[in-house]
Amino acid sequence: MIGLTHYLILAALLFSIGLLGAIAKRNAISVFMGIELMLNSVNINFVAFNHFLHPQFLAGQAFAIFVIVVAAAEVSVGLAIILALYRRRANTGVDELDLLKW
Amino acid sequence: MSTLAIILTVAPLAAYAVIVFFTSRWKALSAGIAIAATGTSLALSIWLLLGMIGDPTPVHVSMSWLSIPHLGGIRGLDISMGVLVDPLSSLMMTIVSFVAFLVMVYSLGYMKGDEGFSRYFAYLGLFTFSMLGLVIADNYFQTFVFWELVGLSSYLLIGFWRLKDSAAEASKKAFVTNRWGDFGFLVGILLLFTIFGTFDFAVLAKEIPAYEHLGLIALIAVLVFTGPMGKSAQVPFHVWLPDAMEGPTPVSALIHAATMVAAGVYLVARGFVLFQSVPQVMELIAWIGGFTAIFAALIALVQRDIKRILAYSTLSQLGYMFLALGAGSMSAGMFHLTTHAFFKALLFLGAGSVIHALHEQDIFRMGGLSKKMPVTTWTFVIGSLSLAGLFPLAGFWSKDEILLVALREGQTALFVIGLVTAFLTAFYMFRLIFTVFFGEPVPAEHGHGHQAHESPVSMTGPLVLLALLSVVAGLVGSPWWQAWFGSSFGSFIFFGEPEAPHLDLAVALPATIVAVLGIGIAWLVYGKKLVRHEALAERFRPLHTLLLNKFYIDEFYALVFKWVMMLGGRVFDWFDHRVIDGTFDGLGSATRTSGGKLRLLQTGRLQSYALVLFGAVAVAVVLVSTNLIGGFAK
Amino acid sequence: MLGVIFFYFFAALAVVAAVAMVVTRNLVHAALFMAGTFLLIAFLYILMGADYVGAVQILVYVGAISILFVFGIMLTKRDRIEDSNRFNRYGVAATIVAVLLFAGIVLAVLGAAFRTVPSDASTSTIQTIANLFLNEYVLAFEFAGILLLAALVGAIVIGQTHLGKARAKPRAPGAGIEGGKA
Repeated sequence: MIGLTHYLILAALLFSIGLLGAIAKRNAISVFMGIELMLNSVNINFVAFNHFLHPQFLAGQAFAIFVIVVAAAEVSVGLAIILALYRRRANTGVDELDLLKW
Repeated sequence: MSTLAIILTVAPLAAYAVIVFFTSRWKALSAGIAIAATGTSLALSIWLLLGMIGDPTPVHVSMSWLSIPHLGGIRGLDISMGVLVDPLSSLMMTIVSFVAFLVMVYSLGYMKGDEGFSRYFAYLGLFTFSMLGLVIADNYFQTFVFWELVGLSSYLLIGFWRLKDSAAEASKKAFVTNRWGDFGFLVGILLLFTIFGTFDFAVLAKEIPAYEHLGLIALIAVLVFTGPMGKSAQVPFHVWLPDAMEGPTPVSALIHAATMVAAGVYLVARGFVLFQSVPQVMELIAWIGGFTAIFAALIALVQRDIKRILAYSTLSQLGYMFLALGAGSMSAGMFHLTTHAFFKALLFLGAGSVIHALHEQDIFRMGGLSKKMPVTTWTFVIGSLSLAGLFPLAGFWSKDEILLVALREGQTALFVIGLVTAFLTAFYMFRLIFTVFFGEPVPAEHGHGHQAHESPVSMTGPLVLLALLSVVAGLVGSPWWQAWFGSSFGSFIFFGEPEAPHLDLAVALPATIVAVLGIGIAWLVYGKKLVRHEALAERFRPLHTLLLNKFYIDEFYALVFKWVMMLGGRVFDWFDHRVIDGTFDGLGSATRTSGGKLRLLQTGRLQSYALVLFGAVAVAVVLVSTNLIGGFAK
Repeated sequence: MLGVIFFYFFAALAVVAAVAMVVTRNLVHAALFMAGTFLLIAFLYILMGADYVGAVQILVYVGAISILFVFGIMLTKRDRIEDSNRFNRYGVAATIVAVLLFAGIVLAVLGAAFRTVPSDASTSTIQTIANLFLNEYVLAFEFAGILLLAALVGAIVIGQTHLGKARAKPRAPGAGIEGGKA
């Protein structure tokens, strides 16, 4: 029988993969993809906890939907930033964006 | 009565303020204000003195000035300011305001045409105020405040001709030397306060004899005594007084003959119980006084500068006063202070008159002034006779009193020193007189004898008045006075038992003989010129050189300052620069260096931050999910 | 058990797609793998009885966000699309951190004792969620709307073409590539 643990481990795996993509990729768009994957794995956790622990009360699912909304907003603004950045620097490489340094 | 005391003290200060802020442009007006204020002080203090003679009950008014309550275990502070009018202070007030008044009148002539005329009178006012404030103080704290004010105004007056390098140097020297003494004084009175919790003379006079730790009292007494040693220029703090002669001569008369230097004597008299409770300290005071007396007299033998001779003479006489105080007789010390104030002020003012006439201070470039300046000459002679202690002038009575005390207290050595000093005093004073006033006028190309003329009345008037007092002032301490009025100086000012004056031929006769001997030898050498004084100097060359160079004390101090102080200064400078600055510079540069290294951690790349962040999260998750360090896993 | 087979099937595919998304060097391929992962995750939602969430997942993620990403890729020029998605210098370190994090979470999950409740997966959730949104979470719901509006306006403002020009400092003709590209 598939239990809560399975879903949680799957979510952890996806989260780790997303983290790898977010940290280790050079392209800003790719970094975004990693972040989206991490958000999704969190949503899996929400839904899984909801399903296996409190099936009558759907707060977990509602939160998953809120997360999706926020993620959509974030992606739209983030991609707009990447476009603006690209227009200024002709590049979408994150490792060249080091103006934050000393 | 206390109100009068306050008014007479503050009047000169008011004059000072008015002159400085309003009238400094009108010279005559400024002088008039200062003289009027001091005249008021004089009149009031004579009134007080007469009142005290009628009824010698001390009047003591005191009010709290600074009060900090006790705070838990921390001790509170209660400092009061007050007025103490008793025979001692009323006498001192009178002397101070009297001499100040005469000096101001005299200065009208002496300082005529000086561009700092108004400033001069303002300073005199300030000085008079400080001195009177010191006199009426009822506690050590207030005394110290005015003590410092006296030091300040003395500094201003010595350096009055501020453009003259030697005057500026002398004022600095006086100030710094006084500070050494004042430091000990301050430490002493702070110790007193720590033990007894009060500065008040009257309270301390009751409590000190009951205090059991004699060693502590001795320490305090010695510390407090360093103050008078500085102000009254006793060995080893005597070096400033001869140099202070760079100031205007009336200032020398006021400050360095009659009042400021007497402040030390006054303070010892005022705090007499403190010193008297430790016999060893009394012994020390007496010996310092005796040593200073003969030491300064020896130096005075060979000096050429008329004012310096008088300065060393002052040192010597102050030594006498301390000798008397140390021997245990407050009245003898104060009596000599009083008579000395008159005849030494007279001598200084006389010297000023000579200097004013000749613009010359070297006695060997003067001569034969007796015909040109008769008033100055004869008042000067009277002053010198009084100083030499010839019967029946004022100096005779007070010096006799001191020698008598020394003999009575069994201090034979001090008695002999006193006698020798008396001889030396007579000799150097008449060396001066025979050289300056009699003998051949120095030829015009060497001196200024031909221009000499008698000084104006504003200068000779005070001379005559002081000469009169130099003759008669001693009578109040004579047995005759006692016989006529049933009281005398000794029964007016005393501590413990009043002392009745009496004439002891065993003391008076030798003293008179040595004085006459001194005068006679001076006459033979400088009047008759039986022996050329140059030849004498040649004969005793090493001694002469030693005396001429004032026992090389100044050089010794310069050496000490140069080596010890500068070495110490260098050590502390090194410590400050290397150790203290080094510590903080090191802290600064360590911060900067570590900052420079640490900033490399900030790469500016988002992903490196994220890497570190999630690395930390991963470690944290692993730690809490295992039981390595108390995680929740079973 | 059909559920077990479905779970392992979808889960394995999702993991493979996710790994491929990260590993591939072609950015367009990465976007496609991402869309695939999102789709498979939506199936997993439905498997857990969260039919509405699964539908929203497909609508928003697979339908909208993936397309946005593709637009983002298309609107930015690059040299060779085949080599557009490379690792940076943190590759090894990031892998270690990811593995460590995964291991930590697995340990935590295995160490935890959940009190699961059996549930009936067949009922529709949409009515319950609608009730939640319009009653209990109405405030959050409205704020989510405001957030979307703000994101919309923000994206438009940031994405404006003339913004870069307006902010660019006036400079001499031909003074650098940046000015020309903006």
